[in-house]
Amino acid sequence: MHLNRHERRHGILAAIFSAVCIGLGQLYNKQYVKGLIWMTCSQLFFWSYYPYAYKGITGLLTLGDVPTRIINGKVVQGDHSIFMLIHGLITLIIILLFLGMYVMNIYDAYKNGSIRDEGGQAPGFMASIKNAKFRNLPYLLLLPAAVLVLFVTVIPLVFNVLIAFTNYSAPDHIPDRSLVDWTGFASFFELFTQKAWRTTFMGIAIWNLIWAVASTLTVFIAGLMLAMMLNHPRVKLKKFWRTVFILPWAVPQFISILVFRVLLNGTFGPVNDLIVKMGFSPVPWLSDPTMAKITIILVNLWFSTPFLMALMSGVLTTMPRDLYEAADVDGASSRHKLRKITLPLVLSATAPILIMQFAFNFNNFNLIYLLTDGNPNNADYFYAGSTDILISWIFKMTLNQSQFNMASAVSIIMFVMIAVFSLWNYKQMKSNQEEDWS
Amino acid sequence: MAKKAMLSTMIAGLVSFSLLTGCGPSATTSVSEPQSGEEQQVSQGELKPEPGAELVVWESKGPELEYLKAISKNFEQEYGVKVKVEAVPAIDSVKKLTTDGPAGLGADVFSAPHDHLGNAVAAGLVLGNDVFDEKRISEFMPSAIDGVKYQGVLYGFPTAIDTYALYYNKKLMAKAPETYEDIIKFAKDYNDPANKKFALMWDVSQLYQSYSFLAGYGGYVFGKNGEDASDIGLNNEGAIEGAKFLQSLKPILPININDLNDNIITGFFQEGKTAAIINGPWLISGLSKDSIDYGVVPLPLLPNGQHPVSFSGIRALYVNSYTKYPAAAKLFADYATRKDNLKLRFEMTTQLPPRNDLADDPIITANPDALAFLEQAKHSTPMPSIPEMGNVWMPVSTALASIWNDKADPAAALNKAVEQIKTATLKR
Repeated sequence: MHLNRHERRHGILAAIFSAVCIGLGQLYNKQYVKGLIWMTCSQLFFWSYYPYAYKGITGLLTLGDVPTRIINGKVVQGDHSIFMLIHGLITLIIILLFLGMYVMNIYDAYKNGSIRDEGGQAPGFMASIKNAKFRNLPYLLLLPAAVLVLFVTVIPLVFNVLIAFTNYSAPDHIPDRSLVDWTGFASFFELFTQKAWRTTFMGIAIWNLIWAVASTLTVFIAGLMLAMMLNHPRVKLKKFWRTVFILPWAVPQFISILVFRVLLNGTFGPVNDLIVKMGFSPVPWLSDPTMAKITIILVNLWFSTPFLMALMSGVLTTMPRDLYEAADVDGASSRHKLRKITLPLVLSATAPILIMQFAFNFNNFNLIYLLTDGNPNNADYFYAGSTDILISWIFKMTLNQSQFNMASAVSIIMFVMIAVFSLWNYKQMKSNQEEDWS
Repeated sequence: MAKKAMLSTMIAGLVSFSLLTGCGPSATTSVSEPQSGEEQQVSQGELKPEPGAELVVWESKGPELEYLKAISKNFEQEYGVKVKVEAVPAIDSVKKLTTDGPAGLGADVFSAPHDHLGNAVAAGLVLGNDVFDEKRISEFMPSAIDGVKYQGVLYGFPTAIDTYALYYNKKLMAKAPETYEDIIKFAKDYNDPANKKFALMWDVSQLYQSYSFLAGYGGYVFGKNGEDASDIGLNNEGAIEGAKFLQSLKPILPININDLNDNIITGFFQEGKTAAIINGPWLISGLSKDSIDYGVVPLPLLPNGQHPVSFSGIRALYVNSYTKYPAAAKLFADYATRKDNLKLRFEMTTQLPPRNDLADDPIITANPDALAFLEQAKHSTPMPSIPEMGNVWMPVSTALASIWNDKADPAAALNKAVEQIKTATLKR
């Protein structure tokens, strides 16, 4: 007030003071209580947490220097790289929160300084608390949820992603008997340049896409056909047929997949027995790579059609009758009616379900794992068989082979693939809706 | 004013304190203190349990658990040490100890398959077996002792050895087949694929069982008793020779091995369709319930006149390095593997005792099945126990499948498998 009235001097000065030392700007603004609280809190926090933070961050950077060893018959506990990674991550987040507080403190000093620049007086301690109670209550209430999200969702996710940039894999880098190191993009690099990994990844990714598309399409068509047949006025015993067709869906998938595995055994299965007795040569249902893939799609057809049929029946019954009557008047063939009326209406009604089906099938672990376990073997693949999809490959890599870094890298790529597909679909749907409404 | 300031600093102090304790646990757990294991110099021969010692022992559920329970009573009477036997699957014990051990929650003595030893040692979970001196070691079968050694140091107290041999149906085969040629000859008359009748079945694509062919000709997994991961012998001349012979057996088992699994094999043997199968002693308890008249003999001789070299597994007790009572724990493990006690164990579990002095014991010689497995155990090598072994099973199994199903060139298929193992184990 004594110096320059026309400049925003107090604000900037207070901000600089606060930047130098947390709370100093508040003191300068004559908010003594607040400034002291800020100052002691931050100093106490900083100096007592500093050693842990230092340890956590160096741990995160180095991932440990000494593995656990037995020296002279005594166990000397060494560094556990993965624990250090997690601790480092938590430390990092606490530091980020602290930095956020630091920025807030500078902003607060600047704001209150500005009030003084305008000729006012920075609010006192009690006034600030009252102020905070009304203005910042929503944030305060959100805080627990935010912390929960941070520690339950964000940290595990970031941890999973970080694993891809280490060499956390058997046999040489499994803590705590040995250390894990940062390797940057080496896992991704290896995945695309090393021949065995590349052929495996490309082969599996392509089959995964084909599988997801084919299974969704076949089930859609079969479901629609069944529903249309059931909806036909001349079909008798509708309830009976509906019950029969829905049965596969009612049996727990887990059990029926295993039953299928026995039924379709190429040498000893009853299905092939029948085929051979009828005078044909046996079908290598699950033992030939191409045939196994077709079998998987067929078995999935058996499982998933009932659901789509039920869905389509619902859609078909709500279909406006007058459209068909008008078409009949115009002399449209039944094929025309299907293509021009039924299909578009059904598609627009079931599009979201189809996208869900696609995403589900893309990661349909149960079916692959229980029906073929990825077999038949493929000598060119790394830890995978011919019918493995990405998710079952990841399962094998983590649980059977402890190749955590590679599994993480593949899951990141998989995530990107699904995310891009879903986003694109979401946009398509949005534009569809707008068309409908306009 | 001054009073107010003081109050506020106090509040500030409290707040910051609570803040600190809030972040405390996450930070302090990262501080790892060196664990002070108790130094216990064991004098040669006499081992005295620590006063007030109490032991926790882990073993798989089943007769082997009953056995430990039985002898722990005697042990308590003899040495005054209380023993609590808990049911923990042997294959899980190392994994469980890795997490529970350092916290002091694990067992003092635990049972584990020998191929987990490498991991356990590397994780610092087991104390060396310094109770056994030269004389005691010589009482055990060499392959059993080799199996519980790691990098030249003896760790385990072997309780049983198991390997696989040939089961045959006495009704179908008048005489036990001595060579694979016998089986091939038998198959010419017996095999009837349309009715699913085969002379011999085994899980071809499993390295565990098919290893006997590769090793019978001089193949091996890792050099230096299975400890040198840089020396892989799965594609050497002998292994390829063995794989060629394996491939030549396809006519007597003309099916795709993806259609084969253990359930099918044992099922068909029980039904009396398959004349002979390769399997381990664990099958006996399942078979005796049926009315099948079977015999067990060592694996048939290979065309080169050699015995097939089977994989063996050694069950053993180990002393947890985090135990509070190392002397008592070692004493118990030693006690459980003494002659009389292992004899009792055989009576209760019918698992083969790995002691030489029990091999001609009447209790074993009266049991022809046990004799056959013991004979085969002499021609066996323990599965490598180094961590790299985890990367071996799948590639070799794939190679065996392509050799069998697709008539792949054995040399090419095995080379490919070895290349995969090498990239997985050595590169990074």
